[in-house]
Amino acid sequence: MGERVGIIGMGQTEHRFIRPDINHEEMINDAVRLALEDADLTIKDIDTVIIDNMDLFEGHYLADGMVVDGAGMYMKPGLKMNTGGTSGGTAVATGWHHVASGIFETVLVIGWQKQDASPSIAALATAREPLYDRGIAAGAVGIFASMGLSYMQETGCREEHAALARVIMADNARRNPYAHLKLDLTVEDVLKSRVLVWPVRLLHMSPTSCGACAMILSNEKRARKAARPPVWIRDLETVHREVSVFRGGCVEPQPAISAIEVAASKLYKRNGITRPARDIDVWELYTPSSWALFPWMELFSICDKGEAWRLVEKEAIRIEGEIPIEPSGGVVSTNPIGASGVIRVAETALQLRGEAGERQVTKKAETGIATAWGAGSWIVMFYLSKHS
Amino acid sequence: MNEELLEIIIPLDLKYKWSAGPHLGAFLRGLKEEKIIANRCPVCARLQLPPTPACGRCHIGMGEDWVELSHQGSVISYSSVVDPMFDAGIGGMRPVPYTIAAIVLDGGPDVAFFHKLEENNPEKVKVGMRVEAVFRPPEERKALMEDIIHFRTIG
Amino acid sequence: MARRVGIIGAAQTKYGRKPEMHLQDVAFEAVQKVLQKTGLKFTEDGSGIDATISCSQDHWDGWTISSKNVVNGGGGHLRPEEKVAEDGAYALYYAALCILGGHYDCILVVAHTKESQVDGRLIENSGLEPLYTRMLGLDFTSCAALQAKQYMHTYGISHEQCARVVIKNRGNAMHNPCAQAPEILTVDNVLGSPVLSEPIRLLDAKPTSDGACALIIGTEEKAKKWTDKPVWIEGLGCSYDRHYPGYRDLTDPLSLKEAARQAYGMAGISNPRGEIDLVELSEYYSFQELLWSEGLGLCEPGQGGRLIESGATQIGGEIPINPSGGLLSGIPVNVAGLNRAAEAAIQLKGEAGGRQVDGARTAVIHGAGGVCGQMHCVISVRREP
Repeated sequence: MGERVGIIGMGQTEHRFIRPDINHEEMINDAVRLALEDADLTIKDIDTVIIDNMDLFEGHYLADGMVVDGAGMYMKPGLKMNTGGTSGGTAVATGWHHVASGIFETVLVIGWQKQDASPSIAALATAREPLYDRGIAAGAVGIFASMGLSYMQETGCREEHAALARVIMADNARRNPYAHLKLDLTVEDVLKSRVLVWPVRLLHMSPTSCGACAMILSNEKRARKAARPPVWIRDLETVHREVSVFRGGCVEPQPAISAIEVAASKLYKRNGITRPARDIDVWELYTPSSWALFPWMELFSICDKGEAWRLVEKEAIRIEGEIPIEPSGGVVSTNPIGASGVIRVAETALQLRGEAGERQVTKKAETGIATAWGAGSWIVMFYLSKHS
Repeated sequence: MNEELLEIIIPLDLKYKWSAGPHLGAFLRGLKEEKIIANRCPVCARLQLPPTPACGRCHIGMGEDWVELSHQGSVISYSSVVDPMFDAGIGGMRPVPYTIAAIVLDGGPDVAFFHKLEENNPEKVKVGMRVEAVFRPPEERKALMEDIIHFRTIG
Repeated sequence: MARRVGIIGAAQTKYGRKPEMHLQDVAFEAVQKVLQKTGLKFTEDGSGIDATISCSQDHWDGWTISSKNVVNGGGGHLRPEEKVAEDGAYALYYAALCILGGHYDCILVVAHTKESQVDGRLIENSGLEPLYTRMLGLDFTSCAALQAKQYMHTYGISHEQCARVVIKNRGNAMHNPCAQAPEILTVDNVLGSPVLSEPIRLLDAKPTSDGACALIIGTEEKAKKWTDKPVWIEGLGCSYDRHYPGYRDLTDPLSLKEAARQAYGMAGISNPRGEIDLVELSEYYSFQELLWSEGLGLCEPGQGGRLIESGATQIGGEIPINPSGGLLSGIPVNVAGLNRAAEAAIQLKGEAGGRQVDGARTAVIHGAGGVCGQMHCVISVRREP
């Protein structure tokens, strides 16, 4: 294998529905400054810059080229990645491969999205075949409705449990100064919110956020000298899958074999993780809807099939619980899409550093899993550890 | 089989709302007041037109050193555009030919400003030619690049 | 580079307008061809291709997450796939880094674009910062015209010298079965073609094109096992210049020089003109071949015009440039850089037929992106003697 890869700095902007006060380059610049400050480095210490967003959301073709000054990319090598919702995860993975190659010592990874530029749902609709289902697809909501529906049919889970999951994430978000939605919710509030596609209600879905997150990765030599304790990205796995088959109406069938299962089983096997709930201390799972949490928990083998809702009912996923999931409040609280994957990794690293403040998990956190999810079924998965 | 090819036109009509932000915003607000505003890098002292949050070369934040540039300058390059181009500003095809130019404004030798020239006869345009910005009347200005109608030939 | 990365095989579609094909068909055709050529399959156990890195653009495809168009056919189903949203040369650059990093041993790189399905000038217009340059109704051609004029004025480059690039490249394409627009042209043909944006005329610009290109690369061990003619990637470089063309001296391609410096440094090339046997570069407009030649250190600044006049860049010359026919013979954007790599590999494998550069052992691959060549990627390759 190549060089070990450590996270030595991270910074994120605040996340809001609209940022009319600032343009995309300025927003990126804010995140980059915070990450450099955190690592006690200057932009001159950075060897290469990886950046990602979903292009059609802002309507910028070659958006990387437009933000060269703000991102600190002038006369530096760099790449622009875009894999949809997984973009942020892909960007971190790209940075990882750059360090692992031995050619670069330090890599700056930047994820961003400015969803106040256009109605995101319009851009998201172009994820579908224009001559087939673009006109009738219900976007991401339909996918989660299908998930929720079949999960309720197959297990004892009820709407109340998804609502409780949402409440727990909101409680976590209120302890995270960077979270976008810091809602004070009860189960009743969630159950009273408007149905989008049953059983998905408005409060079950992630917001359309503007924000940026920057992260600095380095090789072992550099990480050992870092200002903050490094957190190591021990391993990673990317799995995509074919575009799901459209089947009538506005919902998609769940794929027979999930990309998550494939990624998780490979990654666990390589790293000797036999009981994920025991071996992993903290999880940032990229759940764009509270309904996704149950299938996610089971596909990542955090628990057995059909058992996730019971763990939620027991509130084991809370910050103080045995299996803390989304201590940041998760994607359902904050979703600047291109940044969301980077934020998952950064939040996990912050937990392993022990610097997550009010949202620091109670149990001793030495290992974590961060993921990015998108395109209906794609996954990028990272195994983080305090130890190299 | 000799069937007609199926090619279906589906417009992708997305409307975007872009934030100008404090830096480019200062420039665009300046246009409304008949000013061309740049900012200056505190390290290399280069002028940035349009103003940017950071100097890409020095990798440093720009601070508040705003500089108003002259409305006059010299053409360093130009092109007569003959192939019609859709114009987002008017929502239709831009009438051709028109002349675009890279202009170095007096007092701002570090950067070139791109805009249209009034002179549409390429025979009459030369590198080094002196030009001056013609602004729309105040009531027609919208803090957009088109607040400058074009650059006219002077001298 | 401590370890070596080898190009195992390359394949491409024929280029041209393809109203009869869906985006996915175009990408899939190139993938199928390279799988057939190399006999490799997508596998899980290290006996074939481990991962896919694709290159396409949401704007050109009119499709958010445009790599959805290659997942099915490109080996992305329940497997790793990542998309580089830049020129295809960057996808190869990244794939080579992934192999060096050790996570994958064999990667399929695929790029596709159907330029004909959309008004590309609107796409290019949205590649300019929205409130400053985009509102002026500029596209990459009109900006390149400003670059051309300034370059020609500064160094006394003539339009005839630029036309010679078109004549050479379109002529070279006569021997390239994949080329879209092979043609024997004269200076009068080029100078008499309709003006797009003065001084750029129709034949000075690349034609609208559709197509795809696919490459398979691997570790030294895998490359030696799966091809008897591996081509080794020895130098990698890329760099960004600033966005606004007004910020740059358009006659001085700084980011190209920087990308070349990185790649040459890694490959140990100190005298590019003497050490490189052929160059496949991305000339979106005829004058850019001259300007990029200077940026790649093949001649002194301002000498690009003399270089083409001397005949040195012809097949059979001292430093052949674009023996494939280049972009001017019709290669889609995004595919462009990967097509350069495929053509370089074909040359070094000695499989280039009528366009073969005799005894070619080293080649330079160049990809470019953005307005007036804002970003450049340079990759140097070599075959064993």
